[in-house]
Amino acid sequence: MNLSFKKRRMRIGALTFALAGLFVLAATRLAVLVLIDGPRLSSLAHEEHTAAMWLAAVRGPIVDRNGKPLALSAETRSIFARARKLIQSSTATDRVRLAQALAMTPAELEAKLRKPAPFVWLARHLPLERARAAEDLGFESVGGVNEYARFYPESNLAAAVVGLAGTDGQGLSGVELQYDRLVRGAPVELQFYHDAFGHPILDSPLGLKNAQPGARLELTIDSSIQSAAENYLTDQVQKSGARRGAAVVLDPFTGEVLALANIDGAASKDHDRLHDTATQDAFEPGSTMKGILGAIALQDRVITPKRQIYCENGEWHLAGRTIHDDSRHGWLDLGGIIEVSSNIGAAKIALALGADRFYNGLVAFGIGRRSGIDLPGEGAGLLRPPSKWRQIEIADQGFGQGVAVTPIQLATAYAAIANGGVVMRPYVVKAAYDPAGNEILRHTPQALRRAVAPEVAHQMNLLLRNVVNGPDGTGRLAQVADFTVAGKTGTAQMVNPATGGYYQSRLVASFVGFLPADDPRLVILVVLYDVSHGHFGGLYAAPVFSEIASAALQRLEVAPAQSSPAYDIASLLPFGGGAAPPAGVVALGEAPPDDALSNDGGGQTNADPAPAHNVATAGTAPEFRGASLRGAFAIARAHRVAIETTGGGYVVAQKPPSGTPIGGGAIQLTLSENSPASPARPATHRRSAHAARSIRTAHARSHPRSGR
Amino acid sequence: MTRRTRPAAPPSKIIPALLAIAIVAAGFAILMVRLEVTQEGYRLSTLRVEIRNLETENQRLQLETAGLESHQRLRALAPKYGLAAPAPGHVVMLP
Repeated sequence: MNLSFKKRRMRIGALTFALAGLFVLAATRLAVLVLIDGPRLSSLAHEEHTAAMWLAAVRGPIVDRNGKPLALSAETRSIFARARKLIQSSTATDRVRLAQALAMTPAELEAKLRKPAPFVWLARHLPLERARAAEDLGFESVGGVNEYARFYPESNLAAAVVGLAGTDGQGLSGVELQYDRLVRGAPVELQFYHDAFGHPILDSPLGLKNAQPGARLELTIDSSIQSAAENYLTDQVQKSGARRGAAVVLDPFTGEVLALANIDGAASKDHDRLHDTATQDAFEPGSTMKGILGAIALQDRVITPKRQIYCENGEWHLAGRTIHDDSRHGWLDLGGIIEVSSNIGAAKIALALGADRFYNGLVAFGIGRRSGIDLPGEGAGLLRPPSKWRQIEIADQGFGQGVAVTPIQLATAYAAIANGGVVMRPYVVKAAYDPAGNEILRHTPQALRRAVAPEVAHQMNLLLRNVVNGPDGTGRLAQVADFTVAGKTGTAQMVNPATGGYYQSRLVASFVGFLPADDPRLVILVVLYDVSHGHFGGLYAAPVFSEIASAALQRLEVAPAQSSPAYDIASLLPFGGGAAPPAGVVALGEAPPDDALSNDGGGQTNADPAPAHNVATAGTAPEFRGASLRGAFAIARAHRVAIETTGGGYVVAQKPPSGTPIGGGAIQLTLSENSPASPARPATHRRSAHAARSIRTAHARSHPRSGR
Repeated sequence: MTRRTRPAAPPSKIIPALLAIAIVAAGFAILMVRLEVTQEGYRLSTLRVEIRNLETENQRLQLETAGLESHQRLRALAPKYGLAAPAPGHVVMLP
C-alpha cells in the first residue's frame, strides 16, 4: 500500500514537473514572440494585408513680386484599372465607352491595358467631373484617386524662369527644379488594403495622410514687365525674321531680375519651359563689349576720356587681317569710339591694355564666369586664358568677337557700370514662405566684387549716353520719352560651328542700356539671334529696348528724370539763350590727341535737359506751351519753378508767359486735349522730339568733333 | 430567566431599488453619451469632407481667377473694349 502510494506520488510529481516545464517553455516562447519578434511580426502582418503608394504632394504656389500667381497646384483625379480583370470582365464596346469618357481613343486605352502590369494608370490629373464620368460607368476594376497637379495660369509667361514640374510633382526646370526641395512639400502617402491576390482596395479607409504642402515662392519677376518684354520681343522677332530673341530686365543696384524673356521665332507662342536662352546660351557680344572695354581701359589708366585715337579712316591692317569700321573716322576719343562704335578704335584700346589686363578686367566684370543666378544650367560663356591670345585675338575681343557671353552675364556687367562699379549677383527668387506664412528664405542683394571704381563707372555712364543721344549715336532708336538712356548697340557675326569661322550674313543684334541715366533703375538687354545682314542692333534691338523701358518705367512709376547727354552742347548752353558756349566747351575736340576734354562731363550731369524752346533766363518763366503734362513737370523740375495745372492733355496757355519774371508764385498752366499748336497728340510728340533733336544736332554740327 | 430577543427587521428594499435605478440610469447615460459621441463623430466626418471639398473648390476657383486675370487673356480682350496701352506722355508720374 505504502509502495503504491509512493509510486503514485512520484508519478504525480513527474507529471507536475513536466507540465511546469511545458508551461515555462510556452511562456518563454510567448515572451520571445511578443517582446523580441513582436515588432517584426507585426510589421510582416501589416505588410501582408496593406500597401502604400506615394503620390505627388501639393506643390507650393509660385508668385511674382506682386503676388500674382504664376504656378498653382489643384486637386485632380487620376483613373487606374486592374488591366487583366478589366479585359476579362468587359466587352470591347464597354471599353470604347470608357475610352470616350476618358477622352482617349479606344486604341490608346487598349495599349494601356495590354501592358504587363496588374495596375495601370489610364489617365492622370483629370478634372474631377470628367473622372467622375468615367467612374460612373461602373466598372469594378476601374477606380480613381485624387492627386495634385501643377497649373500655370499665366500660360507661357516667364516659362523658362518658372520652369516645369513633372506628372509626379517633381521639378524639371527653372525655379521648379532649383527650389524643388522647398516647393515640393512632403509627398502624400496613400495607404490601402489589398485582397488575398494583392489587388488594391483603393477605397479602403486608410486614405491619405502626411500631406505637407510646399513653400510659397515669391519671385523678383514683375509679371507686367515680363509680359511687356515678351510681347515686344515677340513682335520684333517676327518682324526681323530672327530665329529667337532674349531680353533681360535687371535692377542694377540689387541684382533683382524683373523680367527674363525668351522667344522662339519658330513657335513664338509656345515657349520652351525647359530651355532658358537668357541664362544658358552664349553669343558673341559684338560692340556691346566696347562699353566694358572702355571701363577696363579707364580703370587701368590706359586711356583717359580725352585721349584721342586715330581710327585709320575705316580700315586697318593688323597681323595679316583687315579690321573695318562701318564708316570712316579719323581721330576719336573714347566717347567718340563708343558713340560711332569704331572697331578700329576699340581694337587699339584692347591692344594698349594687353592680354592680361584685358582678361582680368573682363573677369572682374563677370565675363567667362557664371553670374550665380539661382536658375539651373547657367552657362559660363567663353573666355579663353590670356596666354592663348594672339595679337589679332586681343584686337577682335576689343569689339566683342572671339569671346562669348550669356545675356544675363552681359546685363550684369552693364548693371555694374550703372550702379557705380559693383557686380551684383542676379537672382529671381525673393523669398519663400511655409504654409503658415512664416518666412523661411529671403534673398538680399549680394555684391560679388567691384569691377571698376565709382568715378570710372560714372565716366562710362556719361559716355554711353551719347550712343543714344549723340548726333552720330548708333542707338538713337533706344530713346525713351522724358528719360535719358545710356547704352550700347551690338551686332556680331554668328559663329559657323561647321567651319569654325563666321557666317557672312547671319548676325546677332543686341542693345544693352540703362535708365534713367542719372539714377539708373533698370538695366535692359535685348538680343535677337540669327538675323540677316543689315539687321543691326541699333535698328532692331534698340526699339525693343525703348518699348520695354517705357512699359517698365510706367509700371514702376518712375518719375521723369531726364538729364543731358554727356557731349550735347545744347545742354551746356546757359539758360537764357547765350549763344557762346563756355570757353572750356569750345575747346572740345579742337585740340589734337591729348587732353582736349578738360571737362569730360562730370560737371554736366545736372545740366538741364530742356530742349531749346524751353531755354529761359533764371527768374523768368520757361516756355511750357505744347508740352504734355509729363513734359511740363520735367521742365518745371529742370527750372526749379512751381506749376499749377488745370485740365489734361497738352499745355495751351501759361501765366505768366515765357520770358517774363515769375515772381513768387507758381506758373499757371492750362492744358487741353486739343492743343491749337498740336492738333494730333502723337504727331506733336514726335514733332517736338524731332525738333529738339534737330536743334541738338545743329549745335553738334558746329562742334569740332562733328567731323568724325 | 428567559432572554427575549427582538425579531429582526426585514431587509430594506429601497436600497437595492435605488441601486438598480442608479445602475439603469448610469447605463442609460453611458448609452446616450456613446450615441452622442457617435453622432458627433458622424458630424465631424461630414465636416471634414465638407472642408476638403471647400478646399478643393477654393483651389479650383483660385486657378480660375488666375486664368481670368492672366496678361495673355486681358491683352486679347482689351481691343474688344477699346482699351490699349497708354501712349508715351499719357501717364504722368509726379516727381
